[in-house]
Amino acid sequence: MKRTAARNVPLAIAVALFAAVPFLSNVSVPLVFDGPLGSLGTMQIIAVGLIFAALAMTFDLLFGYTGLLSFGHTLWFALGLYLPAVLMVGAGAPFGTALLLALAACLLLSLIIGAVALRTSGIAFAMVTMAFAEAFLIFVERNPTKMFGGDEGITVAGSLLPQAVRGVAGIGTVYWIALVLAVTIYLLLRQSVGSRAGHVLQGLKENPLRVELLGLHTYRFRLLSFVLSSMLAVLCGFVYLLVARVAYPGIAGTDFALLIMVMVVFGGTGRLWGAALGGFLYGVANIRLGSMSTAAFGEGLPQWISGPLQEPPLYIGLAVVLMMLFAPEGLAGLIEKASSRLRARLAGSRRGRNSGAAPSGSGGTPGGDGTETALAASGQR
Amino acid sequence: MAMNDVISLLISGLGLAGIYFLLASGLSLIYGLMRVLNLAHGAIFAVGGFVGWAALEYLPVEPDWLRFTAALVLATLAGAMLGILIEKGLLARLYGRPYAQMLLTLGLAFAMTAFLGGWLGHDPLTLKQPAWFDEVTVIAGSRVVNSRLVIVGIALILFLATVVFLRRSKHGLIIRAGVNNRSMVMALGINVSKSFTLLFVIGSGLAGLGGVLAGVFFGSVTPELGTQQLIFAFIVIIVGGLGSLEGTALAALVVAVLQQFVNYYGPPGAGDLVTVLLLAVMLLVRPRGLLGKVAA
Amino acid sequence: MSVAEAGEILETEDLSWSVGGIHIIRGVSLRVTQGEFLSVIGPNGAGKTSLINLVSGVVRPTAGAIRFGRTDITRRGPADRAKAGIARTFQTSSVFLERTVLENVRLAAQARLGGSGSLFRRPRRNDRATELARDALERSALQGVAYKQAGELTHADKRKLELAILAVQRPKLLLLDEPTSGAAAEEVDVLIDIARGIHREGNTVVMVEHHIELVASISDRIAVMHNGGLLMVDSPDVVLSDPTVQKAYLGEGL
Repeated sequence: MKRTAARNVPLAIAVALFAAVPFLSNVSVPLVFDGPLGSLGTMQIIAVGLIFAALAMTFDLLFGYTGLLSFGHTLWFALGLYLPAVLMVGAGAPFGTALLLALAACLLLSLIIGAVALRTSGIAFAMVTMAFAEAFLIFVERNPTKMFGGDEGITVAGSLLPQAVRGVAGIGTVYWIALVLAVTIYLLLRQSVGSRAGHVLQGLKENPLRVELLGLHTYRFRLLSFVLSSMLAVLCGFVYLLVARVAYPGIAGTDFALLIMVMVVFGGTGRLWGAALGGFLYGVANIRLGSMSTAAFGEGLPQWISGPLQEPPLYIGLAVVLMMLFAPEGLAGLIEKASSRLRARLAGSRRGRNSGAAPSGSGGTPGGDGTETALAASGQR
Repeated sequence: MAMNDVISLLISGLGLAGIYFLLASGLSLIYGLMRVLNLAHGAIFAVGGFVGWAALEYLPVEPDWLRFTAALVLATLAGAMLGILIEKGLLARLYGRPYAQMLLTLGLAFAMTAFLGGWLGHDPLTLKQPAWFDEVTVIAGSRVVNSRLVIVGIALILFLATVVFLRRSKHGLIIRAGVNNRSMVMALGINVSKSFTLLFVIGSGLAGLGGVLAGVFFGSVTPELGTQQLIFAFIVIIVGGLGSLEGTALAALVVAVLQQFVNYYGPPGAGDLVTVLLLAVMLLVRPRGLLGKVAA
Repeated sequence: MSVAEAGEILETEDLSWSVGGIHIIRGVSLRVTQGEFLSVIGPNGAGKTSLINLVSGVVRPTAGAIRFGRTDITRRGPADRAKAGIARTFQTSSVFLERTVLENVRLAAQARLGGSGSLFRRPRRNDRATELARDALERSALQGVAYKQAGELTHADKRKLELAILAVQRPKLLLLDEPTSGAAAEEVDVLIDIARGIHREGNTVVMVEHHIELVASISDRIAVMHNGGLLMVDSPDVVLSDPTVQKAYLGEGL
């Protein structure tokens, strides 16, 4: 509570950095971005990063804070693209109406699907959510109603969108919308996990039976978390539709749902900023790795080496394997470890040796072995 | 509904059920015993499919049924080898941390699928099946493609073998008891980890073999084969009840036959959607599955 | 409320529970009087903890009924039973190990006071739930470790924390599952004092316990369980001198 102000400093710095990007048309970051920061191409890539950061945070509420492992979170992101697109392109609804209708439909749907899926827990819940997301993908790809675009997806013509986000000039506006989205979702989720209900959710993650025995209906709280994270993911979908201007099957289904989990785990589960970091890095890296695969890479090597080297999922997969083996707390864990070591060193140089190592054994922390991770886990939750 | 169609669809459904069973049984028992959700299981399945494809394509063995047998054996071995590498080399280092283990296998699944795709491409590769597989046998007046019968036969043999293994062998008994009550078995001082390694290897081997059968069933293999089938395997596991081999077999039958019939008579994709609907109904009526032992 | 007026607070009728064909509880009919301290004893595997699991709603019976007050609660979930006023402890402490001691108790207070569903209101230093929690911590002599993570507590302190949680829950019926298990001898007295304190406020206590001297000194009545069934329920003197009880213990004492 005292730390609220201090906690906002990194947030303010991050917002200031992102807000500066559009004005930095002379600054270029070689290797990472082709054009200068302020160029439309780079801004578009960063906007995708921001949206994925927001999406990853919505998943962290479910997985990292409530302990609900969903393999189908992308269903809500995909609905956020598909429903407005269908309503606008297929049914001729105006932009605002399409968004409102989509929002209402998703609210109803997340209540129904949540109510059914939450009859299970643990791994069964993961499988059930996966089945629902996959069902949507099948529905979209087979396209029995002829309204969902099949493999090509639904392209939303610029004329259907509001003036401000149309065409090339609209990219600037969309960038700001993406930034507002990421910050809003961060603040909303920070408030939610710190609220009374949020405390119940975090208790649920660790010991659901105890929560139930306190007289709280765990089912209702799980449903609350599910609906909240789903609806926020729908919002992410809305903004992504403005950037991509097409609703396509690649963001629906299990593969992308698992990628969202990878983003969160890579960044650091149970820490909103960690999830955001993972999502942002994935969003940017995916576009960059995608363009890399067309480049001549691994030339001269046999096909069984050079071929796989051009597949972005190979790098993502290997990164996850290494992360789990050597840094299961994700990037956020690594950063916290480094910063607490730095602080210990600073404190140590001020008043001799730091007193009392952090007690170990915070029992049941995922990946909480060794005193080092215990240190990170005990201090920062 | 013509009687001919019914019988040939039924046998197709049985074949698909066999494939689901081979994929789902290992997954379910591995999870039931050690709470490891092996998301690389589907990738092992795909590797098996590719090994089978390569064997049928390049092995200079005649006659063709012998080549097919060799393909099955090689795919099983490849699956088992991958299984032992993953379990001993990677998962064992994350013992007692099921989420980290699951995520590690997820990373492996991504990497293995990308490897297959980068090397051999993402387009379907057609399997050179023995000539006899494409011929038809007339059963009760309806024409059934032979390959379907082969799949049903192999799956049935493997189902019975697995049941016998679980009921008769020492490790099988430990696995069964461990799935039912793991803490009790461990409290008795029985070394579960050895049985687990064995189970992991057998499960992976069955998945590898299942990949070849899936290649025969669908006519071709792709790197994404495993991920696609994994989803139906999950549905089978939940409908059948986590950790129950018999439940998995029963659910595989129900899901696959239903899927075949609705896909044939309904609009495109309806059969796949119906399986999800079945899952939802199951959860509402009986959340622990048909023959569930592990509380889901 | 006088005892005569209140009558039974808890009644199980022919309660049975079996898992996979094994009968763990067989037809237990037990009446617990409002305000009494009832201990449940019996050899290992007699079904004492299972009885507590059934009454607290952690598991559902295969047959029989449970009434709390005048309400049939057989089909109610644990949350509803907790709301109605049934609270319990576990043999191995069940608290939120990754949260602070204060947060553990505060959550219990928040659950009782209501408003747990709010996504807008944050817990405050001086809200009612926090005050209640602080009071309870003081009475359990845990105020010194209020900001420690529960996972870092000693075994006995975890036990005290559980009792502090019970205290803010203000249950009408308290189910204690071996409250002294694992605690050092000098800590047992402290724990029992806290339990006695809760009882003295007019609450009913059902305690599963091995310490026979403790049981004899604190209980109004003792229930003896054997092989999943109820052998007898009577005053401590009668129970402890009963030959069948002795036989039940010795017969199992392999």
